[in-house]
Amino acid sequence: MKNKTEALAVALRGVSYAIDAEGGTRTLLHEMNMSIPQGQWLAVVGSNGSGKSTLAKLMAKLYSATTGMVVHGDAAAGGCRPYVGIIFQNPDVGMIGETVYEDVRFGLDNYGFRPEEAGRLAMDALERVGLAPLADMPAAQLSGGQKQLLQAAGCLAVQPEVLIFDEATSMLDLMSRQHLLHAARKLHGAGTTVIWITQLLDEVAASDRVVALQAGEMVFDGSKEAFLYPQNGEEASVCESLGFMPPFVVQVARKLMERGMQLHPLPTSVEELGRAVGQWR
Amino acid sequence: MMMAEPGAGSGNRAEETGITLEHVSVCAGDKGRGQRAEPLLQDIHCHIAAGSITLIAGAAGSGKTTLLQTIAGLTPLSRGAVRYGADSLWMEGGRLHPLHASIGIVFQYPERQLFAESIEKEFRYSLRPYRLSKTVQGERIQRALARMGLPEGILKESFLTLSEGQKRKAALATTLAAEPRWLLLDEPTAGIDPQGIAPLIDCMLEQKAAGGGIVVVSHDLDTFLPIADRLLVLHGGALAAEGTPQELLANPRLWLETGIGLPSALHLTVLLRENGIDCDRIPLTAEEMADRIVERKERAVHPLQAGPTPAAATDGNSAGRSLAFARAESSSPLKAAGPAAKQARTASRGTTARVAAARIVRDLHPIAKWLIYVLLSAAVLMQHSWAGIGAAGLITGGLVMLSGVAYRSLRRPIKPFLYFIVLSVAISGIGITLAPDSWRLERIYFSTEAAAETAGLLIRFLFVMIMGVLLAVTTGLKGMQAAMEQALSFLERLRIPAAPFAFAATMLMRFLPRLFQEMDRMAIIVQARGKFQTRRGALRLRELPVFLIPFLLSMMKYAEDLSLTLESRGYQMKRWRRAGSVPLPWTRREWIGVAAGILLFAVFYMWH
Repeated sequence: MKNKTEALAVALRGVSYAIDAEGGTRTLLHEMNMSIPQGQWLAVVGSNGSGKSTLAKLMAKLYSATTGMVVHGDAAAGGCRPYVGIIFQNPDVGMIGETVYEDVRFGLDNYGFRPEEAGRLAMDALERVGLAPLADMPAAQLSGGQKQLLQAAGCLAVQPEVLIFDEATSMLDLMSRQHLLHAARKLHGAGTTVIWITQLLDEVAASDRVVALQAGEMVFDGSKEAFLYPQNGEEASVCESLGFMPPFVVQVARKLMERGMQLHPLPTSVEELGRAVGQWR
Repeated sequence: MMMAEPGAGSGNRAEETGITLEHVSVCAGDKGRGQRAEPLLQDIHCHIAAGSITLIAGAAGSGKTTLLQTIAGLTPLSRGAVRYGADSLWMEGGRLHPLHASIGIVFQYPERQLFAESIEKEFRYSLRPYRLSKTVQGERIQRALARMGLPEGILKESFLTLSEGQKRKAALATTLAAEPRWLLLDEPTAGIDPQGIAPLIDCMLEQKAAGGGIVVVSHDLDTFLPIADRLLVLHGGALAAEGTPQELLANPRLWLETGIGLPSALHLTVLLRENGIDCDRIPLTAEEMADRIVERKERAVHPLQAGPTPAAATDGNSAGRSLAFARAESSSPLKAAGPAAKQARTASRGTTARVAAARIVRDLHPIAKWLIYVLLSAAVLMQHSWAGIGAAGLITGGLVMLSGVAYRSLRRPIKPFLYFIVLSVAISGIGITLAPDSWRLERIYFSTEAAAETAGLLIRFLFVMIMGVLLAVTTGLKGMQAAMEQALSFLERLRIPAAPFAFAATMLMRFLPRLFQEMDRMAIIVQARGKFQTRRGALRLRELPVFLIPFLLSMMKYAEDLSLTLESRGYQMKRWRRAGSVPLPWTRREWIGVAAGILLFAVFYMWH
């Protein structure tokens, strides 16, 4: 992520965001600087009101920064495509179209794709998130998880360079969360930059990089291992010092390490821990 | 299982004070006029013990929240009974037993139910139904604040100035202040501040230690499985399995088939098993899991030291496991009943002719429908004689039949108007005569003539309204929008963009059902907090702020989310015409429809 000369996806240059509040203004995000290279999976974590969602909307240019600048990288050719797609938290708000297919078409039509092409792209996007068999179903009848997949399909149909998941899993059950993560992983594998905003720390397992926010400031920027595990003989990990409970897997791994077991690499997902433990035999 | 708690003084009574659900079924909506209401809960039969924590798991839409609200007495039963100890929660005449005051329910995102100008008033509101003295109220508020680790200074503050984490704690504390014997929690960790989880768990354990019962609905299984005594698994509104966490975790298939997914502890155990590390019991805490892994590893290194202990553990658990398997199997007939029931439903759906008629009405060009609507409305409004109004009624009734629109979707908008008619007719009929040269009342009488005139007028409006509802219900939003864009397209020749108008109107229509949903949700919350006995959905005037403030906040949030969504999906108001919107066809069917409308209009006009 450092020494390679990767192209830039999104950069924040001294970005602050403030809103009017009682007796002056309230700053939700302070002087944020960061650059996200193309193809990265960035996880943004933080508690309620830490500025995660504000950051997402700034990156998508849905909010405009009070000071500083949000820079988007150079989009590949193909004029009508938007640069950023964003999947929101509430599955019920995202849907505009009546049927699953029409909902995907909505974005395509807005961005001025030609009808023949739009039809193909819509079905292709539904195929990729696994909703193609439900294309003619009324969108309102989908489950919460399926609605989030539909939002994702609507975003990826218009082929943005960057996909932002703004706490998209917070209202979902375990299995739907896994489905959405799986869909995101496939897109990431195909080269899309993913910005995954969450409060559920087991979801950082998929990321290349973790950024933690607290009260509108960036308090951590590094690898998921450095976030979840104590570094350099310290007592607590960054994640704990921010008041988060480490995911179950990390808790188990740390207990194992306390008992003198060696774990390399440090596991962040159930699969990784299972593999590491299996190798001991 | 039950611990005798001297403090609560109900140790041995715990068994008889548990909650029993007896074959409980709940159906959505009303069951008027042959409506086939979709069952939300089917034949739930189980016991929930006091002094324990019961976790309800299930995929989204499996009926978890409905079950919790049913236990709280917020949802009327279609069949079956809910008992607290020996007492039925519902009494004769659809009233709740006074024991419902001992139930405290915390809704999903409880911070969104706050309304008062200070947290203290929030507490006073929640405590009002209990008729406590000021001092007792004060003590309880103090205790609740202490339990949630909130400072006393918070009482004077408005919820608008609190952080999200504090709001959540304050809302929880208002329920705790009532010191409910039963604490029902709906997704208490969804969107919670991570720092808020530990105090929440402590609070649940305290409640249990004091002999109270806790029922928690959650998909955050990693957090709640370690403290749950008992587990209810729902699938499609039916109870798929129940037992201790160990019993149900012994069967990974259950978790996959019900669409819940594997909790981390179970997932890890499954992976360990594949790697030859067998755990008889699923270790639910990280500590236990690590112990188990280390134990196995050491045994792998020194195989001779493998003692007889694990075998004993297997024996102890096999009963639970087979029970879970048996349960999981017995649940499959329930699942099989699904398609059969669906078939029966389609079979009873009336003749094919009516279905065909309904389809024609649905597919008719929206502009044709609108023209017919305008013609018929004018025809109806023209009628002054009772015969004419009767004929208008017949026409309206015919249209309702023809369109195949469910009675339920008509009822909601029509009902308030019916009340309005009755009231207006009653008032307009009342006549007062004053004595000459004074304000003394001489005579109060009821004039049927005046009342009939009002009735005639309003009934005609009712018919027009019903037809309007039919128009809206039978026309999909997309169709409505396309038609409006088409009809207004002449504006574009005048360089006025028509598409945004049409779209805005369509989005407004989309807003309405959301509005009703949100009203229903808030009404239930207000009912639970106020502990009063009214039918669901009915509100008392003084509860208005309790209802209105969170409702408006939530609708504002929705509007903001919606506008962000639209923007992010490329909808711009300045666009003239969206690419790819195909004009709807205008065929002979449309001409016939409009001609029929003109004919009816003509007939009515002549008659009038």
